Amino acid sequence: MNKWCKISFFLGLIFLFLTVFFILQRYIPLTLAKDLYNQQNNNVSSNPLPLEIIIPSINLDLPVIPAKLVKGKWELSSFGVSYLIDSDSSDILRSNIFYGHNWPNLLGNITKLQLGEKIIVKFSDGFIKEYKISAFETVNPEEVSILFNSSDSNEITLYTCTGFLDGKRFIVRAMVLY
Amino acid sequence: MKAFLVILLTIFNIIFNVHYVLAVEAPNFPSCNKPSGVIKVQYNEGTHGIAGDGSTYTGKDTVYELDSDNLQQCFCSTSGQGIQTNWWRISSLDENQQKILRNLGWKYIPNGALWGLKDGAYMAQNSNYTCTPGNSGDNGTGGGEITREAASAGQVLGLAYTGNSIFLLISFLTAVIFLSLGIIFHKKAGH
Repeated sequence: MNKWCKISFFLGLIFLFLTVFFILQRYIPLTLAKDLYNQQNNNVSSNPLPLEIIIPSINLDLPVIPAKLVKGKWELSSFGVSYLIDSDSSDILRSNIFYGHNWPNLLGNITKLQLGEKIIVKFSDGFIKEYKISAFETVNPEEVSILFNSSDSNEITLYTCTGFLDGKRFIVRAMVLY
Repeated sequence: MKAFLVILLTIFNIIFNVHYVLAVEAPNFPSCNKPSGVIKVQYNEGTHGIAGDGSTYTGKDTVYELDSDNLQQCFCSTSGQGIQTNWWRISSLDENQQKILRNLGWKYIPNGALWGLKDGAYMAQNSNYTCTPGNSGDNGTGGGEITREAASAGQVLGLAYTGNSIFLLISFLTAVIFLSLGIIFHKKAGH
C-alpha cells in the first residue's frame, strides 16, 4: 500500500467518523445534560430564567440554556434549547425567544405540533407557566422582523431550522395560559 | 500525486470557503462630496440615525434617490463629520450573496419602511466623509428621520442557523471521495 493510498484511507476514515459523530449528536438523548444544568442553576433566584421546556405531545423535555445575540451572531447550544437573554437589539426584539437545532433530540419534532397543544416552561424560581400554541410560520432566515417587539409579553416564540439543507426557519408562537 | 493534491485542495476550499463561491456586484454610488440623483428628502437640522448604528446623530441629512432601488443618504454632523450611507434594495439577492456583502461591511436592513424607504429588504453601507455643516431650513423629525429602533434593527442580521445538515453532507461526501481515492490508489499500486 503506497503513501497516497494510506493518506486517502486515513482522511476518508476521519471524515467518516466525523459523519458518524454528526449523526449521533442528533439522536443521543439529552436527559443527562438537563439534570446537570438544573443542578447548576437551582440557586438562581434574583432574575428567574427558564430552566426547562416541556412539550408533552412530542415527548420533548429539554434544558434551557441562556444565550446571547451579539453583532448578529446567535449563541447556540448543542445540549438544550437556547433562550435569548441579551442582545445588541434587546430593545426591539421580542422577549421569550427560544431556539435550537432541528435535531430529533432537540427541536426537530416541533414541526409535528398542532395548534392548541401545550408548552410548559419551568423557571429557576420554581414557577411553572403553561402556554398554548397559537400560530405557526415558515420563513426565510433573513426575515428577522418576525422577532421584532410584540405588545404582548405573555407570548413565547420557539424556532428551529427546517427545509432543504436547513434553508428555512419554522416558527411556533404560544400564548400563556396561566 | 498532482491530481490528489488538486482534489484535496478543492475539498478544503469548498469546506472553508463555501460562503464565498457566489460573486455579487454592488452598484456604484457617487460620493456625498459630489452627490447626484434626485433629492428625496432633506432636513437641515434634526436628530437622525445611521443604519446599523444604535446611536443618534444631530445635523443635516439629505437622501438622494439614484434610481428605483438605490439611494444615498448624506448625513453631515454639526461638527463637520459626515457619514455616507449607500442604500441598496436587494429583492433579487439570495442568502449567500447577502453574506458576501456582510463580509464586505454591508449591513442587512430587513425593512426599509422603518427608514422612510420602500417596503422590503435593503443592504446599507456606511463610510465617512468630510462635509460643511448646514444651518438653515426646516427642522426634520419625520420622513427621512431614522429612529434608533430602525438603527438597531440592522444588528439582527438573520435568524440563528439551527441545523448542520450541510456539514453532515459535506463530511459524508468528503469521506466517500477519500475512501474512493484510497481504493483507486490501492488498485494502481497493485498493478
